[in-house]
Amino acid sequence: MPDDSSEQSVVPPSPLPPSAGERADSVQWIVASVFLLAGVISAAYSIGQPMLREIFSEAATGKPVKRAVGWSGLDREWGKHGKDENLGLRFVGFDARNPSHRNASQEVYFRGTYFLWPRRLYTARSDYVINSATELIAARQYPDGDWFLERGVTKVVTFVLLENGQVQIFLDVHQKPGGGGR
Amino acid sequence: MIGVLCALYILVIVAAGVAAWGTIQRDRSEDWAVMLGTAIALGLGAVGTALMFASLLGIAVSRVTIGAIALIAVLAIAWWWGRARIDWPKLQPPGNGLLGWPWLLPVAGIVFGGVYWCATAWGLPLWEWDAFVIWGLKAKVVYHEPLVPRPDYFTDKSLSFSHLNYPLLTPFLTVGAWKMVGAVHEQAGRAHLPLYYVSMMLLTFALARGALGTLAGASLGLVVAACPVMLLYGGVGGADVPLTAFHLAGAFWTWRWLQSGTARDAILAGIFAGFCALTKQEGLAIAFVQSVVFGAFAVMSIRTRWKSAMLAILIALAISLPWLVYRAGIPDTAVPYASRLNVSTIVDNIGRLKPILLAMGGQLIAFDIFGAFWLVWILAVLAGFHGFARKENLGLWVLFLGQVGVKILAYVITTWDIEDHLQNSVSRVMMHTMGAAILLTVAHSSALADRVRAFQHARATRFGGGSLQ
Repeated sequence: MPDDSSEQSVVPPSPLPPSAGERADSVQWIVASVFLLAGVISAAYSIGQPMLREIFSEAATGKPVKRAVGWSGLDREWGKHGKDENLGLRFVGFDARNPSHRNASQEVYFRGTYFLWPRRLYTARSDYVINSATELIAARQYPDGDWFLERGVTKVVTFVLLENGQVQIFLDVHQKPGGGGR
Repeated sequence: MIGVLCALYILVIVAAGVAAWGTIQRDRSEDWAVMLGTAIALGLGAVGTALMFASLLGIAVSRVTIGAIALIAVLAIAWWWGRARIDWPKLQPPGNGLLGWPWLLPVAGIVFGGVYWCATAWGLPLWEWDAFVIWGLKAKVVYHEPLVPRPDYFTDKSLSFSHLNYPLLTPFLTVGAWKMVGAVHEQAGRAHLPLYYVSMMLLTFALARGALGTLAGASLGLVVAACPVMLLYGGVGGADVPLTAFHLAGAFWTWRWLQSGTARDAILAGIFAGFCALTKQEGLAIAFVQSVVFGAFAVMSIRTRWKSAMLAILIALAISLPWLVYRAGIPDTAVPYASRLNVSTIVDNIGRLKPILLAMGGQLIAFDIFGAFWLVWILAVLAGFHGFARKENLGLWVLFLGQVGVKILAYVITTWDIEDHLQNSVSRVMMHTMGAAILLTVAHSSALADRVRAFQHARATRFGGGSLQ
């Protein structure tokens, strides 16, 4: 531990006499009042924000926050299929140019990966870079049945986007090496 | 039972921080708020770093690891306690009579902010996008296996969306809680988050109170506590608020070192720079800029400061180096900043400057995101412009502007769509700079107060002195 004894403090002593120090209280008071006013206004503004109020009331009552409701639906789906094993994932009918398709596909893959870990949700080979939904949908480099089986995957979940905008979920079960099909 | 185990984990973190504080400061006298605010931040960083370093040695996080940290902390505290010199608060309210009571108002607001943090951290599952896509996933990875041998996760490019090479201090703090309760538990993993709030409040309070009095200290604390962006992100489980807290502590001790030049201040500043580097990518930039400040001031006063400056830089490097070495083997596929940091990329994207500056500047008046924080900052800087004449304040400005500059550069060279990137991140990026901004607010307000005092003193001497003669 270094010794501070040889080091010099460069903080200058206050040159002010006591009388000036007493007067300075009024300056402190003005600065403090400005801070206080800003703090009270900020607090009032925060309390008035619907999003912050909503999160707080849901946290205090134990209800899932609105934004998490979508996750709980997906989590149930993954929990149902991937309780004890790795899963495969495919998308059919999704268009990388469509923002809502991009949102939906990345929510499925990103959330599923988090929820299932340490079980894996495979959708591409490990050398294929997925940073965004555009890459996720556009690549379509889904591994085949053998590749899945090598990684202990016997179930492949397929999200199919129908023409009416509904999403249907299908489960493929691989019965033998090289096998596949719904 | 989960609550008890989480409380124990929080105790271990605080004990580790107090132990680190005592080991560094020994018998040096210090204000209680500075001591506690620093010790809590030290504990958070020290426990996260220790668990990460153990994992780098192939030791998986477990109750035994956490117990070992607790034991070392208790022994260090026992060694230090006899010689501790802390200026504990006096029980009577400050000020005279009725003038002393207003500080209770901001303190009540700060307490309510703390309740908000606790409720959102402890009462909700992990719902925020980055919190589970990046940080929650990493915590799960290192919960199940140590960093050595390297888990497949770190080389699987199909998981690049989770930013494979982001640093791991905050995931390891989460893992510590999970190991304590014996399972992956989203709320338990965020049990320690309110400690960041306590640390930031204590340091902000101590800073402003030292220069401007108790009411100003508590009120500036309220300005920070009531920032909507702080309330929103405080309990979600990302790394933005931890980075802001470590940066505030780092900026605090850098400022103290700029004033005092002592080795102990430099050590603390260096430690927090290292913690920043282990918390987020942006933290690496903060550590770099802080090191530049230390280097520059060492050159300016080479005889008195070079040893302590080098100490700070070496400590920051020692803390971040093991991770930087490990990280070198992880594919940089999400946002390859390093490979894009060249003149041609910057020139090609220079047109982005306008939207970047507009977005960052817009945050200064975004009441719905920062409340009145930046307006107070602007007012303090303008009213206390004499503060620019102080050398230590210039160091703070380098810290602040250096950080802003690095972030502008990152936006210029990013591979992401700039509009999307700004929309998703600019409020958090500006939040990271709040540490230096809080210090600048205090420094310039203090300069204003000193200027007025000097003016009053000169007037009193001139007129009062004249009449005596």
